[in-house]
Amino acid sequence: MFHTFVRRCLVAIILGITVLAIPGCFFSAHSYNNGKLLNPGENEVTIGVGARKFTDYVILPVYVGAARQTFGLGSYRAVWKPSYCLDYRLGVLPKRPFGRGLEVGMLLEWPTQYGEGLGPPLTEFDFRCGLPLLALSQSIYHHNVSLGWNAGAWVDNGFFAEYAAGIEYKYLLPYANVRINLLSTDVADNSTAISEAGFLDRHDQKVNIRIVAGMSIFLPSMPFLPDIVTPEVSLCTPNWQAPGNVGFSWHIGLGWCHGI
Amino acid sequence: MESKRNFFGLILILCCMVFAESTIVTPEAMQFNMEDLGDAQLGVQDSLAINDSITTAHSSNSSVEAESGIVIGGAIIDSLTSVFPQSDRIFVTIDSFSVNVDSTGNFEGRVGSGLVHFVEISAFGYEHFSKMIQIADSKLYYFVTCALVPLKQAETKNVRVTEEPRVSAKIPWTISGSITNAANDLALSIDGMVLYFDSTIIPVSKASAFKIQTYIGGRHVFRVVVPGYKEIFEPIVLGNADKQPYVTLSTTKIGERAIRREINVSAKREALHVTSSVAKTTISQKELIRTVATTNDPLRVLQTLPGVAAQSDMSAQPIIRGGDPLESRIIMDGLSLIQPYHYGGVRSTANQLAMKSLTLYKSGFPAQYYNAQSGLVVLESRRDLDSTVFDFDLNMLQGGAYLSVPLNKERIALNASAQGSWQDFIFKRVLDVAGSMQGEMQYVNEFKKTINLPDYRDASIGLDFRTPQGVDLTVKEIFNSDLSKLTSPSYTSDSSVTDSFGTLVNPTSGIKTDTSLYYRSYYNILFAKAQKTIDMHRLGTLTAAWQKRWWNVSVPFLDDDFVGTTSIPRYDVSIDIVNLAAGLISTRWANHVVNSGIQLDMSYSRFNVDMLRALHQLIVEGNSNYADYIGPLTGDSGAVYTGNDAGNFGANDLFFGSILAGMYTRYKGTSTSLGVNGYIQDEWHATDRLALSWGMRLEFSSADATLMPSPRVCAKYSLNETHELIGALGMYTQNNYDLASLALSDQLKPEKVWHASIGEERRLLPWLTHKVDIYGKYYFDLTSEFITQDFSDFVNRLISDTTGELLQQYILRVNDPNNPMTTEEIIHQITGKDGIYTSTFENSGKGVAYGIDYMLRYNPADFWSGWISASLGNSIRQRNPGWRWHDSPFSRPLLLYLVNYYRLPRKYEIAVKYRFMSGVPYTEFSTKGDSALVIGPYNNKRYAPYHRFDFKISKGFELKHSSGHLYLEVWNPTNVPNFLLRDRKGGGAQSFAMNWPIPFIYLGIDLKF
Repeated sequence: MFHTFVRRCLVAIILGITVLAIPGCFFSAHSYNNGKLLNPGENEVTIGVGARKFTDYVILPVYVGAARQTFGLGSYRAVWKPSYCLDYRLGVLPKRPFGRGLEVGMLLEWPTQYGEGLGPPLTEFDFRCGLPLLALSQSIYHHNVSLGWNAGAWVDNGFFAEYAAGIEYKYLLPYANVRINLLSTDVADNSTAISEAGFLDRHDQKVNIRIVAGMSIFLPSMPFLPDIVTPEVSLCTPNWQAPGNVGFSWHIGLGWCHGI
Repeated sequence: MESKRNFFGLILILCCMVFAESTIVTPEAMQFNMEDLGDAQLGVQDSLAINDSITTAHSSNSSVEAESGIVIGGAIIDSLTSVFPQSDRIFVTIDSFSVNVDSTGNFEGRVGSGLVHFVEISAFGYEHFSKMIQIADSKLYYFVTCALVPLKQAETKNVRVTEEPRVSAKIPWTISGSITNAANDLALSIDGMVLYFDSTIIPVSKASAFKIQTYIGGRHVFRVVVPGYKEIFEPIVLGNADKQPYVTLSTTKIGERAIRREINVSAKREALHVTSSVAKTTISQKELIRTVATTNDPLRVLQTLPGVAAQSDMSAQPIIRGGDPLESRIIMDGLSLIQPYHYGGVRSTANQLAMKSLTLYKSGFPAQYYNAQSGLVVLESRRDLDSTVFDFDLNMLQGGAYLSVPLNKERIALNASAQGSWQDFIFKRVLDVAGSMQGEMQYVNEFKKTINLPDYRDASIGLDFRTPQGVDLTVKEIFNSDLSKLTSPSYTSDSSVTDSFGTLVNPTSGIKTDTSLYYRSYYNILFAKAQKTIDMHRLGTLTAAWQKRWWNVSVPFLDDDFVGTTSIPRYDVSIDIVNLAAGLISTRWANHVVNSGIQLDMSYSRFNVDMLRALHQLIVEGNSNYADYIGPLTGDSGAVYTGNDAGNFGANDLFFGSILAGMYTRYKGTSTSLGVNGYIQDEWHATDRLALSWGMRLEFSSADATLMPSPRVCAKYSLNETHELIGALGMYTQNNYDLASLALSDQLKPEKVWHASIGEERRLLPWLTHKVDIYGKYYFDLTSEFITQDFSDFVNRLISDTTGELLQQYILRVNDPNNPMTTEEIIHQITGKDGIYTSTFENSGKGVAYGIDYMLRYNPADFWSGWISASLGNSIRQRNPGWRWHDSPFSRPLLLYLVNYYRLPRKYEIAVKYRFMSGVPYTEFSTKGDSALVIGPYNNKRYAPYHRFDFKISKGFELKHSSGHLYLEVWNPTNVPNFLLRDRKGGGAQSFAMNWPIPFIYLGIDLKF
């Protein structure tokens, strides 16, 4: 009775804090890193919506019985699933460390892809370091490097390094960025999670690359409406749950500057 | 000819311009330098280094500077936001001459000869700013950062210039004060001292005190001339708000660098010789609030200071230099508190919003505090007599508020504070969301009915008086409560069944929800404190308090499943203490500050405890160390329980849980004691460099019928103004025994410890101080628990066994050729399962602790502050003479902490905290063979380290009458699994700790009216 009670308490508490908290795994697809950094004390909140293609186990109805039961066959198919993100960024330093300042950010993305279904949200934290601007004939070349991590599932965390560049011309800022991910260990794999030596102590980290291209469009300041609209496409490879091991997704980010 | 003259004139003007450009540092250039210094914001670059660099850079042109005069420049900022107020109603004068302010808040002006100059600023909505600049020989350029303090909203109405006009009044101003040495803040007693008030010479007493009466308000200037000391000019503005101001005029010896009133950051700092102290750290309320992930509990900030560790994330109790949690004492406004924690230590009862500061002593305890061996935490409450204050903080876990209303300005104020948690409410709303998202509402509803998270409520109300006779009186009532009722479901078809408390049966679902644990705990404090300045040299204090702490805990789910329990296990305890104290601080003797007093404590306790030992330990100590739950049961070297070999005796399913389930702590009765203590402490500034503080306590307690002396001495020696050597030696005692040891022992005597500490404190830069402490401690007469097992059950069964089967089994087991058991092993096995344990306590324990603490504290400006701390130490204990020395529970040899606060433009703030702690020691439990349970020697192993990073982002805002922050905290964003306890040498999880298991994000808001 004592153990049952304690177990129930623990399960309930963990269920509660799991919803409040953000456990995570894998990698993000949304980016919105256009190479340009915020000034110290400026912030930007971006809400991203999009869709990603990945392999799902789909049951196709093939027969409806007399009692309206559905019989079907299951198969793996490439499907589009919605994807959302919330990105918060804050400028911190004006110059250091590499001449154009420092920006910190936090990105929540859900759902991530998890085995054959939709996984829990992902939390990602990063530091973006601006590099010196380059003046082109009629535009400015912004670029930065960033380092960050995403919260893994206890065994280890995922880490990434990214280079982003964009060319600002009036109200447009086309950009591209490339990121290399050292992914956190997938604890869904029991052989990884529990080894002979102990619990959650076997590392199995993989590497993949994400390439994103998009365009930030700066809008005139209007009440309630976003200040920046950013459509982008994202490729992640290898993505083991995507068709052909190449994950493809598209997103639109709506950004509000000085929102909070 | 005319054109030639014009040409040379033009050349001359250009040369002058170029020359001037090369010799005067413009504010813009200065700003650039300061940005380089630390990415600082405009106008908050107070730094001695900056001034020095400017002076050095232009010293080669001193002759030219001397011709053009001395330049005073500066930047104007808002002290809260660190940005230029951007008001068109800002007036700057340097020596009464107006100076222009540019659009960024910078100004500059030249001054003539003279040793002293004044920069004054009047700005709408801000307090009047005035700064005196003393001219040094080598400096030609002076930079003043003018941090304007906003006026309170009510006072800004129709106010343009805040300075009182210099007009005569019907009621005179009475100014009293003294002349002190800035190096030690003590009164100067030197012949030939002359004090001018404007141009009038004022008589000064031998103790450097003076009193002036004047009918003229407005601005006046003091001038102090002391032989051998620097001449000081100090302005004062007499306003109607304060008719009896007290002024301290501080000066320094000629030849020594002035450490106050300089136009650099050190002007804000007190002399190191004044502030330095052995193993003492003070944290202001501002720093408490700025520290991240404390759940607004001020005591959790302690767990970032050197030498202070935590049991787990669920414990706010400080583990100071490897000591036991009960060896540290919490003092609030001079009153020693009784277990001021909720739920055994999950959070303290202190309300951060109602506090002014927190001071930690790890050694060198002041003589007026007692009953502490490892550490003292002194909390000081806020006292707001002059204005209405309302602060509150609200977040997803809890909320708190503080209100102070002056009923008669500067005479009487009413204050109230409250705080509480709503974890249960939030948790259930989260479950609702989770259930609806996952389509599991039925399961969620069942949980909601059966699981109730613990919450707490605290409230206080008080009155502060200041009488015309100079008596400060505080009366306060504080009430803290914990109330939690945990339930557990069972499934039944019988709808008539009621639970242990006669309620909560759900006949429709068949779920019977029974009460598993009922926890009620209350703490009431009623206290009054009066302070009177008897004369210029004596301050008297009287304190009277009544404290009542009581618990009503019952655990119905520990019913007859457990051996030896005939009724519902309970912990019914109440403790009443009346404290009376009288103290006197005297500075009558030159260079001495004498603090003396007497204290009277009367306590009455009533207890009826019949509780599982593990839960008893949780309630009393908040002890979450799993291995401690069996206490010293296994003796010095552990034990082996041989499993099912003794199955015929009914002990065939022995495991750790079943041993725990049989271990109860039982005591019942009452206890009355009287404590009478006297103390004296003298802080003697023997020379300008050497300060000695010696103290003695004499303690009598009827609880142990002892009279104990407790001597102590501290010394600090100033090598120079920025370098201090400090040391302390003392013996401290503790006899506020927990009730179990008091009830279950024949005679106890006070626990004692010798502390020795030496160290140094050094101000590396005006804003950067480091401190090193090397310490050693020797504990003796520590209370140790003994657990004896009752063998009568075994013997009775043998005797009553008429068939002789048990005896035959016993003989067989003892003579088993393959696996023989000794009689002791058989008894061990049986008593392990079905034993009856009895605890007693004796003063047979000893302890040794030693180590080194380091702290680097930086505070370059209001927008950036923090500290880095590190500790390396060892703390070991011996439970009984001749037993092995083991690691002290919760001791963590290595601690590394980082706390940083940084404010960005636009009122954004970032705070980070990182903590690394070695793992706590543990006792190894393992199995051998099929089912033998092996319990290793006590605390013979250590868990892997704990580390966690947290951060907070907040955004400041201002409303019409208030300002506040919206904040977001992220705990454990790197998802370190501190909840899994592994051995430090690797291997799998040994156990689980109550540490935060996953990243956690929550929001909150704070507001100040």
